[in-house]
Amino acid sequence: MTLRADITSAYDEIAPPAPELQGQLRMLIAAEANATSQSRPRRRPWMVGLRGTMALVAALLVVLIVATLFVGGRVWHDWSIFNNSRPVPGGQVHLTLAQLEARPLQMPLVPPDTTCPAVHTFSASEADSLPEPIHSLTYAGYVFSSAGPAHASVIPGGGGDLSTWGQYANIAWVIEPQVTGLVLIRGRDAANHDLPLVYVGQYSAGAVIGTDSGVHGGPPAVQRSEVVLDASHHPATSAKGNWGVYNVRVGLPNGMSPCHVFQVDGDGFSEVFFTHPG
Amino acid sequence: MQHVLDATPLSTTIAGREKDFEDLILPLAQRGYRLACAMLHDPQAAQDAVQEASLTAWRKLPGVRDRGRVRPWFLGIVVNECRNSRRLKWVSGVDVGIPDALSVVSGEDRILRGADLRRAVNQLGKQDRLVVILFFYIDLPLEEVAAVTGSSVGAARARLYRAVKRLRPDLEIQEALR
Repeated sequence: MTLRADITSAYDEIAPPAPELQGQLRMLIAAEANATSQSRPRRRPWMVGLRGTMALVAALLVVLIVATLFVGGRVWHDWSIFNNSRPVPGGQVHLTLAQLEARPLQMPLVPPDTTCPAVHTFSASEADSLPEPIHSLTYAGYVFSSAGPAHASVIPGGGGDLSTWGQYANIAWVIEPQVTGLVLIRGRDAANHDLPLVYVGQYSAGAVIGTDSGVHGGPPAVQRSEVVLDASHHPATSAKGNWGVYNVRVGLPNGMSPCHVFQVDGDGFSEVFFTHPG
Repeated sequence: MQHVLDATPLSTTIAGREKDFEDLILPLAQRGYRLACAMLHDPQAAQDAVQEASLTAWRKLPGVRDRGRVRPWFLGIVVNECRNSRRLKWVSGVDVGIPDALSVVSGEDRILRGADLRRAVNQLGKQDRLVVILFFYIDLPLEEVAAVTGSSVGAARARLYRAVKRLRPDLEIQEALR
């Protein structure tokens, strides 16, 4: 016998005939075919014809979605930049101002018979090297010189008005360029804090203290308790150093001592200083 | 032997597939059953394996590109089903009821009895064993043996020669392959 015959004989011993196998397979496949035809209906010819079109539409939809996401992302990005670059909204201004006003007054009380503690006048050469963020100004005989004569604060007596209530003068507030946002200025008689300096006209803010109709040659003056400046938008700047210059009209009641104290509050700083008209 | 491509497309419809199955797969059922018996040593398990293989073939029949390759393709499915069946039994081998000690000692012209021969084949490597069964028992040409085992014809031939040398060391290869 050959090896092939031996092997065939050996394995035939364990492989009994299975004449029913083909019939079983026919039945199995018939059942499977039946289940397949019931669970998956035939594609209709019109669906086959539409297959290409549907694939094209699906591809276009994908492109459209991707394009929408891309364009939408750009629009959203631009919108975010636009929102972030908008000026401080009104609500934010009020909130910031309220926060500044909430800062307590830390102005020292100076007895009438003592020397006004720190009154400075500056020469033009000194002005550029001042360390404080806010620099005063002067009135009634004091001159604060900035870098150039054209930007010096009020000339003594310039713009001053007398009334039966007191007197008015212009003060130039000069603000260094690195200061931004709102700046709140409040002033008092250094010897009597119950006597506030008042402000009229542009930049005056806060509570209305009174109305002075006795100003010679002028309309009635509405007196307010504080000054608010927007350091982000200077109305004018100094010729040297780009400092902001704000002309503010201040009112000094009769009976006020010659020593005055100011507290200036802004974003990240609070400054107290004295002035003395002489 | 040069294989001639028969690329006549197979049907994708249910009815057409049933006819293709009848024409192409059913004639191979007995051969698949014998192959499964040789691998599993269990007629019932072999029938189950062939049924599973037939279902798989039925589902994949429309994808067959060459009618002339249906036989090794289907027998390859049977081999896979047998391997899966063995895996499910959690055993690597099947108890074929063969005693460890041979009752007949091999000699120059002595013939191993059936059980002894099966035991000898069983001691071959897995792939070598499959090549022997496909070539000698299922009577496939080497090209189809290679197709079923997923190897080249040269590799299948080398396995076959090695197996024959172990089973019949005294015979010339060409004589043993007859």
